[in-house]
Amino acid sequence: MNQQLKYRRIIAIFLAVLLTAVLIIPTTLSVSAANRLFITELRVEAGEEAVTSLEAEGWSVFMSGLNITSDPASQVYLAYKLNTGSPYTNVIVSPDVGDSFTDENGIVYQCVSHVDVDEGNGGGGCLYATRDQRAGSPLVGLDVLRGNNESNKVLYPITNDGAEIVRTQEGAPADLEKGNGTDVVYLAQIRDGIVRPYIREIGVITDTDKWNAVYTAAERGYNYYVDGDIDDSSETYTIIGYERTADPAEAITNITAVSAKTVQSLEDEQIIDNRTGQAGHLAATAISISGAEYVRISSQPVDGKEPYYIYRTKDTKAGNPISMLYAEKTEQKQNYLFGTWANGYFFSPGVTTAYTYSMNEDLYTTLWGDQTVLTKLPVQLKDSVTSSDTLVDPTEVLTKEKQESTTDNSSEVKPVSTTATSARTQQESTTEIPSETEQESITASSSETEQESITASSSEAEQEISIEIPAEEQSEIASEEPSKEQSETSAADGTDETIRYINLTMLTPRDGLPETTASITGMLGDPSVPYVERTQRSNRVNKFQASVFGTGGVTALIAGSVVMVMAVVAAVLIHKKRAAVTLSEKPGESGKSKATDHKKKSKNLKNSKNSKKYR
Amino acid sequence: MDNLTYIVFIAMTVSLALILPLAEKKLRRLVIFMIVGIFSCLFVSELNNILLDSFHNDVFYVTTTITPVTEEIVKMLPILYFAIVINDDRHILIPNAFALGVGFALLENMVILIQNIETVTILWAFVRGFGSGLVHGICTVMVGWGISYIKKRRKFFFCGTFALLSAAIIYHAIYNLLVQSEYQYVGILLPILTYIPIVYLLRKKGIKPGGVSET
Repeated sequence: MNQQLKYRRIIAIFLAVLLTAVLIIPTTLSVSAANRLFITELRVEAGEEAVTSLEAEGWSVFMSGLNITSDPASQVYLAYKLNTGSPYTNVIVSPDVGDSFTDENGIVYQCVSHVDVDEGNGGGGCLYATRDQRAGSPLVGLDVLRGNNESNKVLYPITNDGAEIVRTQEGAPADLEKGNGTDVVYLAQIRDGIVRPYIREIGVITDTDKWNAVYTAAERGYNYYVDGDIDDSSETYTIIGYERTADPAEAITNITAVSAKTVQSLEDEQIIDNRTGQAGHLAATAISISGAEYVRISSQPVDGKEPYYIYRTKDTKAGNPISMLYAEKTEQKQNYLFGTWANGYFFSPGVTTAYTYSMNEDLYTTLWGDQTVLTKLPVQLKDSVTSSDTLVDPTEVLTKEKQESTTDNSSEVKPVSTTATSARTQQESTTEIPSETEQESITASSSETEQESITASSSEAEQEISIEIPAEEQSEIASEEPSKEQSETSAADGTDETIRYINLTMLTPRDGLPETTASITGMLGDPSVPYVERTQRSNRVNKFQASVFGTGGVTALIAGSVVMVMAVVAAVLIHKKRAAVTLSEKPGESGKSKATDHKKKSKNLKNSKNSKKYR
Repeated sequence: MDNLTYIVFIAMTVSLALILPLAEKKLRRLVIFMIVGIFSCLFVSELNNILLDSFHNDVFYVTTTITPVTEEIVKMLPILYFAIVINDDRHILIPNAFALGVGFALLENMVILIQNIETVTILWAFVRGFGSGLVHGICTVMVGWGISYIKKRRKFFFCGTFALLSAAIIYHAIYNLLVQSEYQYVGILLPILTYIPIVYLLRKKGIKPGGVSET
């Protein structure tokens, strides 16, 4: 082996090693680049200088303190640090029991700081956190939710998936302003990788105070609520709480309102048992509309012009899974806030830039871009006319009129004769939490009725406590706007009051939502900026965007395809022309001999080059 | 405005196309390759958009694993075509390949500029100019240079073409990955550090822009 060849081999080996290193290093980097930033450190500090000192030490501080107070000395600040490893998996609020404690599942919680999160207000409690993976998915974010009636501040609904209220050791939502009147401060934690695009269950919660209603909703397991009072009473506040799911099979597919009068009349109907011939009454806890079974979600009617019950179904016959809900009080029959709301939802507080875009942009595209199915459920409010009793037909909206219906507008549900439904009516004092188990219990309760005085028939279908409402009436109930006749009637009566409605809006993506898990966009926010910034779509920053993305048009694609086809045609023509020229230059040679000759020539050329190369 | 990309494309290509009747053959070829590069960028931007939708708008994932593939394939096709059908002389192929890459980078920079008009800075301009501009140029030069060799060796043609494409894709993907990571400045340095030896090598071999060989 000559010296030159030896050197060349050494250089080749060196280059191979270099290339390997170049390939391996970015592979390692890609891991760190793709890693999410999690909450890895937490700290609570109190006092005027807390923010300054924490920021000086590199902490990101929630500028909205954990107390609602004007006294800076008693303000408490929560600070955090983000990193890629060893994340916290759960935070709870507990009385100060030392540096750590172990919960009933054997998970050890460490004290974040021995600082009372309700400093000076008598509530008490310290933050404890764990990194134990059994406690849940890693935390990617926290948010401070503050509600203050006096300053009319709004407690933002938590709308992003994976968000939940931080709870006490006992599992109740931890109000960090417990000893401070009607003010509330909740801490929300946001878990990584949770995408729940569908609404799994809804419930109606009524309370005299909005925050108590929200508290109750959270306590009952609803992580989300529709921010709007859906009753007509000035004394009570009724909200819809809901829970989300990733499984479309568990999702609610339709919600409808049925007037209390209709429900009453349905319940008045006697059910005759096939076997015994005995007659009885059943509560309309489940009704059937167009073949889909709807379950009632509240035991008491919601207050409106005509008191109404809300029913929901998960039957696929009723539509696609619902992804969003919105309620508004309006004097219009149309929902003008749709656009505002859609943006408000996706860029709501409490989410990181990366988190918002990584999972919610899919929803945004699907729900907003694809013109999803929007269903409005208008409910007329009580004060829309001065004297509803004077109206000839006051319950046209949302009601299935029965000729034999009662004349008064009483919302009382008459007692029914079956044991199962009697048990249900005993719970009427409070609103119920609808759940899968409830639905099951309804079926179970109907089964139980076999042992009671009213025995259901052996047929499974006949056992269901369901009352069929014809399809044409369902459309009347679910989507029809309040008729003009009402306002006309109102005007005829000399009442010039504006008509007010509650629009309950549901959005259902036409073709279903993308079945995806949260993924990383690379648009991770700057860790020095608090992640709870109120990000707007226009503020989307991708500093060094690496590739170019078009506008969704196909003109360039079509033009490019045409150019490609033309290029291929031109190449074929050139090739044929060259072949013809070659043939005309050598007319006596056959194709085979030419090919052989060409191969020989190229072989000779290669040999000569190789010999030169290694010479 | 949705069709701003097309407006920029037309504004750029028309201006460049006006040079063609006045330019000499070598310069004309360079300008044509630049226009082809610009059009490739427009084509690939729409293609990337479809792919981005398919991958649930995950920009990071798409730009590090998908778009390098599409962009390099689309950029390679004109070079491959030129080498096979018209001329495979490396003295002509390499400068023209670089012009194609620069043309591609020109429109890409413009599109990204108009999409992020409120956030761009002078630093951004330098990063895009030195980083993205060079990356596209270097990748196409890599392919052009390689094709000029493998075109003459039929045994290597298919595997060689694939290898060249793979090399360009890997290089491009590494750059995309780095500039979006916390090591973004390493990503910016990568094409600059690659460009210098390439220029040195080409100068040494007498290959100059415009397809003129000194040897």
